[in-house]
Amino acid sequence: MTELPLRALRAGDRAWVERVAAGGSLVRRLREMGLHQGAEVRMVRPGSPCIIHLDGQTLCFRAAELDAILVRPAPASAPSREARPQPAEIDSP
Amino acid sequence: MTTLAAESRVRTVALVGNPNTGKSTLFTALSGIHQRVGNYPGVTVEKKLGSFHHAGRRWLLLDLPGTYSLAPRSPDELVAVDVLLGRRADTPPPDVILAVVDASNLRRNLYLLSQLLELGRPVVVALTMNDVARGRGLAVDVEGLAARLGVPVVPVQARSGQGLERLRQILAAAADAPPPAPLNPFPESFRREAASLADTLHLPPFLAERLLLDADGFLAHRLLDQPNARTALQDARDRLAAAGFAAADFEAEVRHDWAGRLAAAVVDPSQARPVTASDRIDRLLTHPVAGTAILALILLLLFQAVFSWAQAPMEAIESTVAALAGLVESHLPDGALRSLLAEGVLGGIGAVIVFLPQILILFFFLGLLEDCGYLARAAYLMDYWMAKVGLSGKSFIPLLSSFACAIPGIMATRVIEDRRDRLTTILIAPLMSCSARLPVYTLLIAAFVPDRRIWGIFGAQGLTLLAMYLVGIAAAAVVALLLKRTALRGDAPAFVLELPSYKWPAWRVVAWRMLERGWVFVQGAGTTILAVSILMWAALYYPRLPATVAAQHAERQAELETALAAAEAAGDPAAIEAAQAALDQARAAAAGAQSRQSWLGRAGRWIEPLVQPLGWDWRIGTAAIASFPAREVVVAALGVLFDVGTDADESSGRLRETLQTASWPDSGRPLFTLPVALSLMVFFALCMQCAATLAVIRRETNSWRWPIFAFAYMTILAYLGALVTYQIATRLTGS
Repeated sequence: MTELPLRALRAGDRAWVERVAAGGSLVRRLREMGLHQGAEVRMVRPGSPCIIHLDGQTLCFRAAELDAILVRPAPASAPSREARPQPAEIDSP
Repeated sequence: MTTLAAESRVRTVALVGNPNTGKSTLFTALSGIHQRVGNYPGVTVEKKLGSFHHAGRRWLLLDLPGTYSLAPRSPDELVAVDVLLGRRADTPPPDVILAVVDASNLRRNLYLLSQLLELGRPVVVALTMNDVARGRGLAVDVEGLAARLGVPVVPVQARSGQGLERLRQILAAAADAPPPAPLNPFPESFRREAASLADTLHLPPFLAERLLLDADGFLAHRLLDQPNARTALQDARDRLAAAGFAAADFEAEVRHDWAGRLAAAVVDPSQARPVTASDRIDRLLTHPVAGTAILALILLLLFQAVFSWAQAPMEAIESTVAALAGLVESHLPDGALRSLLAEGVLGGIGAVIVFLPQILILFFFLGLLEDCGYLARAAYLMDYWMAKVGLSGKSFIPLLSSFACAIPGIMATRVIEDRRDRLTTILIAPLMSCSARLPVYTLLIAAFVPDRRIWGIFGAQGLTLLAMYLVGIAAAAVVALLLKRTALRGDAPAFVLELPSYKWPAWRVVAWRMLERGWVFVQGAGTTILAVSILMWAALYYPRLPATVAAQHAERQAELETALAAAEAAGDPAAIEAAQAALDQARAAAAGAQSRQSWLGRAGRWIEPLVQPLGWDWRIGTAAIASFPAREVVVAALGVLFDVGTDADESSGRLRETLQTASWPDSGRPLFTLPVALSLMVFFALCMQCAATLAVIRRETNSWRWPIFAFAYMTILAYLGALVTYQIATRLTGS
C-alpha cells in the first residue's frame, strides 16, 4: 500500500504512521503525545476537527497541518495492537 | 544528629503530570482544605499551593499545570520548567518531584517522566488510574517499573485515600536521600555536546539540552542575549546535524523508544482488552447531529439551573444587604457617614456577593461536566464554529457562560492553554448580553417599543430583545477576528484536545473547584469592586446642595410629614395615601436635586455635547456614567435623576411613565423616542459598565493593561454603536 496523508483516512480506517515531516506546533505537540513513526492510528471521525485513536488515547485536532503526517493504511485483515473488532462507525465522510 | 532548624525546615513537593491523570484529585486528597491559588507574576499561569503535615514537618505542595512535555514554547510553559529547576525567586525549589503517571496510558505518561528524570532532583512516581488499567487488562508491574526507573513508584487511589499514607512516607524518605543519578536516554555524543554547551552558557544541563532540541527559537530568544552565546548554540547544533542528530523527530523517537521498551517490560500486552464503553458513548455524543442536539439539551438544563437556583439566594443576599442598610440608617444620624456605610460600603459588599450564587452553581455544573469528561466533547462539537472567528472549541463554554454573567465566563477561560486564545476570549466575553442587561432592556422595551406583531407571528418587543443579544454576538465575532489579526496575532495554536475516557465525577474535586473559584472572586475582585462603589458613592454624594436650598427641601418634607401624621391621626385612608404620595415626591425631588448638583451630575452636564449625537440629554449621560459599577444601576440612576426616587426598578410603572413624558428643557419636545431608547439599549449591549468584570479581568490576566484595554475598546464600540443606531433610526422613523 502507498503512503497517504492522515486526513485521507475514512472513519474506522486503521493505519501506521510512516513519516512525520517537520511541521508547526501542532505536529510537535502530537509527536510528544505519541504520533511518531510506527505508531498505530485509527480514524474515528474524519474532517476538521477530526478524532483519532492513538495508542490508547482519543485525540481531537484540526486537519490543517496534517499533510505533514503520512500514514500507510493497514489492510483490514492485519492484526491490530489494539485488538479491536472494528470498524463500525455511524457516519462516513 | 542534624540541627533543629534544618529539621523544621519546610519541604517542597512539585506535582507534575499529563492532563487528565487525576493530578488535581491527588493534590486535593493530599492537601485537603489547606489550598490557595495565586498567580505567577508576569504570566497567566495559576499558582496552586497546598500543604500537609507529615513526620513533624510541614510540606508545601506545588501543583504545576498539566503538561505533555517540558519543552517550553511560551512564557507560560516556561514557568513549570523554571520552578522545577529552582530558577524562580518567588517559588522555593522543590525538594522532591512527584510525577503523576496514568497507568492506563503508561507509554505517553513515560514521555514526560523521561524529561523529569533528567532534572537531577529526587523523583517519586504516583501511579494513578490503576483500576482503569486493570479493567483494560493493562495491569502494571509496579516493582518492575520502580526497579527499571530507579525511583520509588507508589500506586494510589486518591478518591478513596488508598496509598496516600505510603506516598507521604516515601516522599519524606526521598527528600532526605541524595538525588538519583539523572537518567538520560540520549546517545553519548549528544549528551557530551549538551554538557559542554551547559558549561559554556552557565545553564543547567537540562536547559542546554532543550536549546539544542527546540528549534522554534523561543528558548534561545529568552535565554541567550549575547551574540557569542548564540554562536556557541549554532555551532553545537551544526556539529549535531553533521553527526545525524538533527531530524525534527529526534527527541520524540528517542523518548518514545525508551518509553515503549519500558512499557512493554512492565505491562503484558497480550492481556489487553479493547476499550468499548467510552467509544460506544462517544458514537452518540460526538455525532454531528445527535451529539449537538444533546449538547444543546445539556446546556439548556445547565442555564435553567443557574437562573432558577441562583434567584432565591440572590434575592436573599439583596434583602439582607437592604435590611442591614436599613439598620444602619435607623441607628445613625443623617449625614455623610450614614450614607457612606449604607450606600457605599454595604452597597459595594452586596455588589460582590450577589454574584456568588451564579458563580458557585455554574462552576459546580461545569466541574461535573469537566470531571466526567464531557467538556472535551463539547469543545470538539463547537470547534468548527469557533474556528470561524479564529478561536477554538475551548472558548465555547466560557463564552456561553457569559450570557449568564461574564465573571464566571472569564474565570472559565482557564481551560484554554493558548494565551492569545484565552485573552481574546476574555476580551469578548463581556459582549455577551449578561443577565444584568435585562433590567435595562426590559424597562426601555416596555416603555418605547410598540407591542406590535410583525408578519403575524413575531412580537416587535421580543424581536428587539433578540436583536440586542445578536448585536453583542456579532460585535464579539468581529472583535475576535480583529484581535487575532492585530494585537493577539501569532501562529495558530496547537489545538490538540484529549478526549479522556468517561468516568464518574469525583465529588470532592468538583466541590473544591467550585469553592476555590468563589473564593478567588471574593478575594481577588471584591476589594476593587468595593473601592469603585465607594468612589461612585462619593461622586454622587458630594458636593452637597447649598445650605439654603437643602433647608428649603427639609422644610417642605417636614411640612408634609406633619400633614401625613395629621392624616394618620384622622384615620382617613384616602388622605393618608395622598399625604404619603406628596411626601415621597418631595423626597424624590430632594434626591434628584442633590444628584444633579453632585460631581457626577456636573460631569453629565459637561459631557452633554458628546452624548447629544446619541439623542441623549445630560441626565441620560449622567445615568450612564453612574452605572459604571454595574449596568443595572442605570435603572435606579434614571429613577433618581428623573425625580422618581431611589427605589425605582424596571417593573416600576411610574418610572416608565416618567421617561415617556420627559422632555428637553429648552424646546419641550419629548426626550425619549424610539431611536433614543434603541441607542441607549445598544450602548448598554456593547459597553463595559461593570467594575466586577474589570476586576476579574485584572485578576485573571494579572495586569491592569487588559481591563483598561477592554474598557476603552468597549466604550468606543458602544458609543459608535449607539450613534449609528440613533442616526439611522431617526432617519427611518422620520422624527
